Amino acid sequence: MATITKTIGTSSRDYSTIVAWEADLSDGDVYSDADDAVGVMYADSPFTDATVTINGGNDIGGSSGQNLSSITLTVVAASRHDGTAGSGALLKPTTASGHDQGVIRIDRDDVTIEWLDIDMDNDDDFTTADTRNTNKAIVLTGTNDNCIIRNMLIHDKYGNPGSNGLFMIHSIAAGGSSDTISILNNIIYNIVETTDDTSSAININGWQGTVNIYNNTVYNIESDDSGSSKSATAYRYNGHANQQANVKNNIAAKMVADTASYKRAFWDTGTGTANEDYNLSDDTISTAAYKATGSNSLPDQTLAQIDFVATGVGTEDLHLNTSSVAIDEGVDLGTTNGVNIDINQRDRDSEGDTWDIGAHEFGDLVAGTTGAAFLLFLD
Amino acid sequence: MELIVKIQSAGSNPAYQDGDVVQAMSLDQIYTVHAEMICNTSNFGFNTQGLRDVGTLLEKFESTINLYKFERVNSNDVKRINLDTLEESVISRTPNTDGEAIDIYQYLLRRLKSNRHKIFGSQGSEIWYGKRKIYDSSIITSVWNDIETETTNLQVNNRSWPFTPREKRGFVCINTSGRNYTGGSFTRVELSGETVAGKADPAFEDPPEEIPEDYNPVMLAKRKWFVPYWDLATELSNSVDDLRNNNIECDCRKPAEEREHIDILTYDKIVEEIL
Repeated sequence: MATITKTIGTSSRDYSTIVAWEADLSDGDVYSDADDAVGVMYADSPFTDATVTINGGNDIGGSSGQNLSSITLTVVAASRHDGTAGSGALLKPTTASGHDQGVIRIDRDDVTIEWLDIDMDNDDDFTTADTRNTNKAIVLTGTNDNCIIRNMLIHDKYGNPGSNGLFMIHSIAAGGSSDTISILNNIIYNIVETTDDTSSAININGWQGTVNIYNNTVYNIESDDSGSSKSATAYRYNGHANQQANVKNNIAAKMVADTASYKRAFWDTGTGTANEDYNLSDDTISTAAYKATGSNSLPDQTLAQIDFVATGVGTEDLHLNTSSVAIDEGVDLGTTNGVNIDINQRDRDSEGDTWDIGAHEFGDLVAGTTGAAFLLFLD
Repeated sequence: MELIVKIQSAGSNPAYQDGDVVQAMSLDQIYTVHAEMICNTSNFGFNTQGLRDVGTLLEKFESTINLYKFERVNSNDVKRINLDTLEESVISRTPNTDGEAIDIYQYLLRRLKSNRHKIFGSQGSEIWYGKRKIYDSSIITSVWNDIETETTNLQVNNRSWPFTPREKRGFVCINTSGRNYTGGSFTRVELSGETVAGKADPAFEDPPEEIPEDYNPVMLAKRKWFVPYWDLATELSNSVDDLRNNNIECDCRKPAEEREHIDILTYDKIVEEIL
C-alpha cells in the first residue's frame, strides 16, 4: 500500500480535470490494492466540471476486492482559497449538474474533500434567479463512512432549481450505524431559494451514524414561502434514531424566511442523540428551538456583534473581525480529522489558540487600526 | 467539441465502462481555459506598493469576468460599481439598509497576505473586482481581444484542450463536429451548449412524480454516451492496440476540416439498448 499523489490542473499536471482524475482511480497501472489516492488541484484555471461522481477506486485493474483505502481531493497549499471567493482553486460548473445529483457526489467510504471553492451561481449575478437545475453542492449518497468535508468555501446559489430546494452539503441516505461523517471548518453563504422551497447549508438529518459538525460558518440562507412552510436552515441533523450528532463551534447568521418559525439556525430534529454546545446563532432566529443551544452557546447575537470582516454582495469576507463575540468562545476539539486547521490553514492546536467559534481562528492576523498603512505579507 | 473517452471498464455499472465519454469540452470552454491560464495571477507582478498595476491585462481580465468593481474611497468607504448597469453604491463599516458592511482595513490586510491577490492600484485607492460571471461568447471575445492586444498569444492558436500525457495514454482524446447540410454537401460546425454538456451526463432512473427531499437518484450508468473506439480505428487514425496501450500517447484529434461527425463517434446507451 502506498499514497499515490496525482496533480490536477490545466498547466502541465497529471490530469486536466477532476473528472478525468476520478475516472482513473480503478486503473491497475496507476493504483494497487489498499493505496491511498490523493488528487491535488492547482488553480491554473477554474474547474468547470458539472458533476464529479466519486465512486471509483474499486476492483482495481479488474481484480475483485482490490480497492483503494482512501480517496482525498485536495488543493495544493499555494492554490488554496483565503476564505473568500475566487482567491484559490475554484470549481464553477459551466452547465447544469442535474437536479438532486450534486456538483460533487460521493458514493463510497473514506473520501475527503477539502480546500475547494465551489461557486454555485449559474448566471452572471446574484440578483437574477438562475434557471439551472443544480440544487446541491456536495451530496453524500449513503455509502460514506469516514467521509470528511473540510475547509471548503461554498456560495452563491440564487434561484429555483426545480422540485427540491437548495442543499449545499446533503446526506441523502442513512449509511450504517457505526459510520461517521465529519463536516469541519467550512464557510457556506448566500444560498437563496427564490420560489416556494427550502434552503439549507448543511443537512445530515437522515444519517444513522455519527455526525461531527464542527467549526463551520454559515451566512445568509434564504427560503421562499409562498403559501406553505419552507425553512431556511443552517444546520439540520439528528433525524435518525441511531444518529449521534456532535455539533460544536458553529456560526449561523442571517436566516431569511417568510415565516419567523422557519428561520432555523440549528435544527435538531430530535430523533437520536445530539451533543450541541459552543455554537452561535444570530438575532434573526426567534424560535428558541432553532437557536444555538447549550450553556456555552451564544444565541441572539447581532451581525454587529458577530462582526464579519465584510458582508457586501460581491466582496464577502466572513472572517471574524476584531470585536467579534465569537473570538475565544469555542471549545478545543483536538486534532482528529484536521478539525484544528482553520479556513486560513492556521493550526489552532500547535498555535496554542483558545478556539473561536466558526471556521476562522482570529489570531492569524494582528489587529490593526483603520486607515493605517498596510503591511504586506507575501508568502 | 473535444471528448475524453474511458479505456477499460472500471467495474460493473455504475462504474465507468469501456468507451464511456468521461468529459466533453466545447470550443468556448477551450478558449476560456487558455484565457484563464494566460491571465493567471502568477503571470503578473506587483508594483512597488505590493499591489497590482491598473491598466494591465490582468486588470482588464478581472473587469471583464466580474460583475462588480470595488474602489476604496477613503479609510471607511468602498464604492461598488455594477459593471453591467453602472449602478453605484457605498459600503462602509456601518451596515447599509441591506445589512452590508465592510471593514476595509481588515479586508485588504487579509487579501494582501496572499501572493495571488488581485488588489490593484495604490495604497488608499485600492481597486478590486468580485462576483465572477459565467462566460458567454461576448465575454470570451472581449477577453481574447485584450489578450491579443497585450500579448503575442492568438486565439486561433488556442483551440485545443490541454490534455495531459497521462490522459493521452490512458484515455482516448478526440474531437468531433456537427454538420450543416446544403443539398448533398455539408460544412462542419462547432457544437456547443447542452449538445456538448449532455455527452458526459450520467444515466439515472426516472424520478418519481413527487420527489421527496431526501430523494436519492438511482444511477444506472456513470455515463449515458459512449464511443465504440474499438470499431473506429480508421476514423480515429489509431489502432485499438495502441489506444489500449498505457505506454503509448495517442492523440486522435484532427484539424477542423477533417473531423468526424458527432453521430459517427458517439452513441446513446439507451437508444442502443445497452441500458
